[in-house]
Amino acid sequence: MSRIEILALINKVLAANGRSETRDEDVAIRDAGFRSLDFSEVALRIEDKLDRELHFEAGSMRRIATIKDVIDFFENAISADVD
Amino acid sequence: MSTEAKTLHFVARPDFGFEALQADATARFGRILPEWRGTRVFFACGDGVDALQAVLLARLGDLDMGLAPARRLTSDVRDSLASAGFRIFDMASGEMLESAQQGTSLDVVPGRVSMLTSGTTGAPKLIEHDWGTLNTLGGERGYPRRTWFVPYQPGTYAWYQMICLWLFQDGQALFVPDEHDLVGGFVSSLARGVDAVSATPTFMRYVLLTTEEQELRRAKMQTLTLGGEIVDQAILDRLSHLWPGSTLRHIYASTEVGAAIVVQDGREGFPAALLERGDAGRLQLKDGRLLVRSKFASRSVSGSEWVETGDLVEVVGDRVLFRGRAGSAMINVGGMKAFPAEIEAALLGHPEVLWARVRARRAPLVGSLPTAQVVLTPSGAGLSDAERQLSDFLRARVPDHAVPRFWEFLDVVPATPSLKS
Repeated sequence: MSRIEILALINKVLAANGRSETRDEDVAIRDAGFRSLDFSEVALRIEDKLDRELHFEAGSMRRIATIKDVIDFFENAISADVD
Repeated sequence: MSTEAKTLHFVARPDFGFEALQADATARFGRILPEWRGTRVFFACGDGVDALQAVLLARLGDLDMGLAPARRLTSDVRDSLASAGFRIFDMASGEMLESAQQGTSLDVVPGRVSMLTSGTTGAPKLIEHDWGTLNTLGGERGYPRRTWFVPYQPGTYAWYQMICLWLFQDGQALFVPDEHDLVGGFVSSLARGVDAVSATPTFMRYVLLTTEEQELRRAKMQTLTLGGEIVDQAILDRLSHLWPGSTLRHIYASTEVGAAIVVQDGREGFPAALLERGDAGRLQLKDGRLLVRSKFASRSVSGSEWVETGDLVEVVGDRVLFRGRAGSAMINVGGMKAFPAEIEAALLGHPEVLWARVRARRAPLVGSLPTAQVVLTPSGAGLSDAERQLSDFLRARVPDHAVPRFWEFLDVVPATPSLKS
């Protein structure tokens, strides 16, 4: 999955939950209203799309502050699983 | 048994009135009836005719018995019946069925009626009643004359409730449909004098989904009884709107506890005032769970004993509302509680939602997320962006974390053989 597709999924989840979509990757997740439930939903939607489970590293999850970090995190999780 | 002639309509066998049914039962099995006395006999029934004949024979012979559709009697069930001392009689072939363990009737109680639970939460259990605990209207007189549609599977607690009404109350007729087309049978029964029905909310939703409202509205429905699963405000409102002159009641009952609460004020749940009598009453709340004692409880429970029902309830204002079964009723969403029954009830309050089921889906980080399956009404089937609209609708009614994250829209209401969902 590309970064654009991951951002599109993030925006889909934000919009479905009554919040504004974002184009600015540097916006803080708190300002974007992107919460742990949204994170979890995006993870499941990626898993559904790829038809496999993702494995997360708790340490890198704690470093997430912006939407860019979220996209980086999923990009890494997807490629790590492929290796 | 009442002396008044009983009226019966079998859709599958229009020639079978009550007298024909009884005469046929006696002709088929009268000769072997004496052999069943002093044993425990379980009737494997091919259809509703077999089941009613088994009841008539049980009454005639004061038998220690049970019955179920033959297809429910798998080898496991047959073995557990045999270990309880039952011999299984196949009504179709007129022969005893063999099982791995042969029944040995050590403890025979004339008039005992044993029934299998639905087994939705594990292997079916055997619950014992008698005609006294099953006849919940025993003390009432002058019950209005009615013709009842019987959608329930023979041998279940709800089915026996209908049968007892027919057996022990004057002026009650039964309409037994073809079990393979219950909804079609219900609709056609309305033109043939049926003016009362006892059913689950799932069954009535199925009827509403598949039948033109105008056709239903023409029926002269007098009495509607709902039970078997949580009865929500939306289905009560829909049915009272459809048949405004009818008596609409909902019953809280289980095979083990028997009938315990009857509500007739058109509102979901039951009045909180019923809890206030404490130990003198019939209902108690303990740790969010409902405790019941009922004189109609099964034989393993004494009438003065409190039974933990396993049903979660919540007091909201002057009402006690059901929140589902303990153990499966709560979704943990990142440490916050979400109750499927509460979310489903809120969804059903949307005018275009006919049926809803909310479940947990295992999710990373937060543990679980709620997911929803929904059936829209025929007029709502074209609802554009239903997922967004229903999410917005819910956000005004339940906490954010309880709004389902995944949606599936089904064409039909998925119902189990016991007409629940």
